[in-house]
Amino acid sequence: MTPGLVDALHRTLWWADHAVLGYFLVINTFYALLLILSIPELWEHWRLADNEHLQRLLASDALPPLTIMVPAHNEEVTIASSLLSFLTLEYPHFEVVLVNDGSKDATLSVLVREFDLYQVPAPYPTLIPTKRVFGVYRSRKHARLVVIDKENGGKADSLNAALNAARFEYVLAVDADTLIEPDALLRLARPFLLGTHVAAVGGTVRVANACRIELGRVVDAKVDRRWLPGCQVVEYLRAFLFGRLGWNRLGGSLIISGAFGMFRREYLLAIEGYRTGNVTEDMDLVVRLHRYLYEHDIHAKMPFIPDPVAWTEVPTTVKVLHRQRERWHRGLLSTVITHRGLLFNPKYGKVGMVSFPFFVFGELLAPVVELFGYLFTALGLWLHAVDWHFALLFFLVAVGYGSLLSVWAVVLEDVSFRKYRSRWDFLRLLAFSIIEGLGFRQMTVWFRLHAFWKYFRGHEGWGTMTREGFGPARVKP
Amino acid sequence: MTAATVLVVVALVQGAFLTLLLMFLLTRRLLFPSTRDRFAEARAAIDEAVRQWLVAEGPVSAVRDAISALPSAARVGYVAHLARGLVPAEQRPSLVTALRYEPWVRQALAGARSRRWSRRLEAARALAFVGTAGDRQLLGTLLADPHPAVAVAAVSALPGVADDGLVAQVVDAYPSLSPFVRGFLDLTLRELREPVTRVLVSRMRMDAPTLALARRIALAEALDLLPVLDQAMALRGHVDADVRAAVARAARRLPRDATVQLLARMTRDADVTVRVEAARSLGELGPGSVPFLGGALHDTSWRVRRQAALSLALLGERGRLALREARADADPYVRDIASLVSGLSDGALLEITAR
Repeated sequence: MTPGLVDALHRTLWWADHAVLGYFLVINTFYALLLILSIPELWEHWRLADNEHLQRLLASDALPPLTIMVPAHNEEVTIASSLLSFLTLEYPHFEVVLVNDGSKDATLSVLVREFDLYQVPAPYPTLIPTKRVFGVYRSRKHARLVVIDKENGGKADSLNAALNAARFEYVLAVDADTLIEPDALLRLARPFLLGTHVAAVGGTVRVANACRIELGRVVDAKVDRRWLPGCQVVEYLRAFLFGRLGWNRLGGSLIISGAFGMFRREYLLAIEGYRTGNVTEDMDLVVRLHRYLYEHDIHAKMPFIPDPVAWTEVPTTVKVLHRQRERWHRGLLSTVITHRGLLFNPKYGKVGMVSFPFFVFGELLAPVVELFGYLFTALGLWLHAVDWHFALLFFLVAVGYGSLLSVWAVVLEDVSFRKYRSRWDFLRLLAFSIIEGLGFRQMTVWFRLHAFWKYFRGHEGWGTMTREGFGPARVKP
Repeated sequence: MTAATVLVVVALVQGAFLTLLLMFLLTRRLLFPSTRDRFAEARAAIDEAVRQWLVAEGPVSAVRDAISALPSAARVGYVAHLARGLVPAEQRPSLVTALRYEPWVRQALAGARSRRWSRRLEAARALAFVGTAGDRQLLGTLLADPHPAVAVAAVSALPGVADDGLVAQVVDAYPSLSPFVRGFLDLTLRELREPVTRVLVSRMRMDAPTLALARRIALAEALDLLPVLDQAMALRGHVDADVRAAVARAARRLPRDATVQLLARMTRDADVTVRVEAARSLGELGPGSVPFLGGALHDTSWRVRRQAALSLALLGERGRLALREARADADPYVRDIASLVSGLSDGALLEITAR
């Protein structure tokens, strides 16, 4: 190599490294902003959750009736217990619409047997087209239950079928394997009590692995001793307790978890329900909902509330985690490409100018930038263009910043809800907060990079999500 | 400043902040009990003091001191909790007097005109127990607060503070309040039935605004104010369907033959909602309603047919018999709805018809 070429390469690497450093500082400053904004939000919700008068009102008839939509596919082992836990939630008026999405196992026959189902004529119009519905069933034991048996069409298609059948103004989308805390619906309804015009509300999702579960309820929250689910406990705390809470003050998050989110049915029908073919139907739905509200000048909010809690099982093996994270990122990429017109579009207000750009540059492209950061640094070290002290310091600061955010999420959890009561669980939580940045984070970066490869090769599948299950003690039907 | 210097500064700030957070967490967790545990401990002490005071074995000052010993964030909450009828009316004044001039109570009440809703909320919550007739003006302001949580908390103070003038103010504002504040008023105004009756009777006129009229009828129904409901029946011919629907809904509180006849006529109303409400109320007025509900099974609206069938199912053997006969009706819609409702168990029926 000529000295001129080496010099140019050095300069390029120097600039690239500094660009990555700049990106790192900007993104993390934004995270710090979210962190600061989450404090008054959490304080406000905490105060309202503690309000005696609102609690009295929550026990009254003043709450809007709602429909719980449960898509189910091959869930014969757990469906009876899950469904029973939904049917016994504390809420004055609700119905459960379960959609058997072409299960190949005995899901339907288990339901017919356990809930004494009988077939009825479909008493509702098909407002959103779905795969063929074979039959609609009601239960002789639980009048709140409606079961729809349909041809397999995926989760989004099942939710659309449930949306067609829903009788009430508000619908709650949950996964069949989600455990909802008994009072979570009451807490989720708080914005309605406060007279807020609400298009959607999101609640917190936490990790159920290792928790003690009785009769379909988490009775003792625990932090898994294993590294993989343990790191995910911290990750979920960080994502929900300050990530989404901070977004409440910045125009609303683009994600309301598909495992636990409430929507106004009228708006979902207006945007023609869930889009089939998208592997993260929840994010796509929320983005389209934001678009719809802005385009029709509807001033409705989509807040996130921290105290209603649903528990879910997270992957315990690298293989399954890989599939999950790759799918999530592929869904994000697909949603961003589909809705690229929102990017820095002032017509969409804070969503177009803040939320959407953040999801593009801070979430979607983060693994790409991180990969280039590692490559440039390695190349720079090899060519002596980058000082190894600088590289090591940069790496430690990046890891340290991640740990700082995670510890902050643990602080928020501890001063507010303190679900993890035992000291050992608390110490484990702290330990995972510190070590999450060493290995786990880099691994998920790789999984997310894989999503780009799969997306551009036209892969559209979900992949199999094997789970350990909550064990036989979950519910005794 | 070079990039390395920036990184060193970031690392130092970050390290210091991380250390502080960890120290805070560890100290909090390992050395101090949680607020919840401290509250539980203090709460047990209050319960004991309150118990002794209620049976005249302890002084009221012991209760006051025990409440003052609660963590500061929990004091007003406990006072609001006391407002839920835990203290007998005859003993309440002495505790109110004891608490009223405590510094933390005065501080809470002083927040009534604050710009921060949370401080106004604390004031309203404190007023719910320590409020007296002298606080009428303050309460009037808090009742009209734009934050529903404050308004709802202020509503709790009404029984202790209200006179006829304030009740009239609340009843007049009732139709324009948010549904949830109205729901809370329904719960609270039960303690003020007499003044509310007086105000509502004077407001139940054909020329009153439609929305206000419908909501006042609903309030009278929720509070079971029979003199008001009697007067409301005269509005059955009102031009607005919302008012007629409210009349049909409220009629179930007046179980007599004349009401059954009135509702039978209303099952032929031009408006579907009125017919549904009439069918629903007929289901609560005894077997005399069966023939009229049988007629409603032939309604052109699915909603009315469904409600008529559910009401029949709730009317005991005569209603069930009418449903069985309807399963052989010539009209397929009647047969369908009768079969669907007949298949429901008693438990399912109660669940689906719960108001």
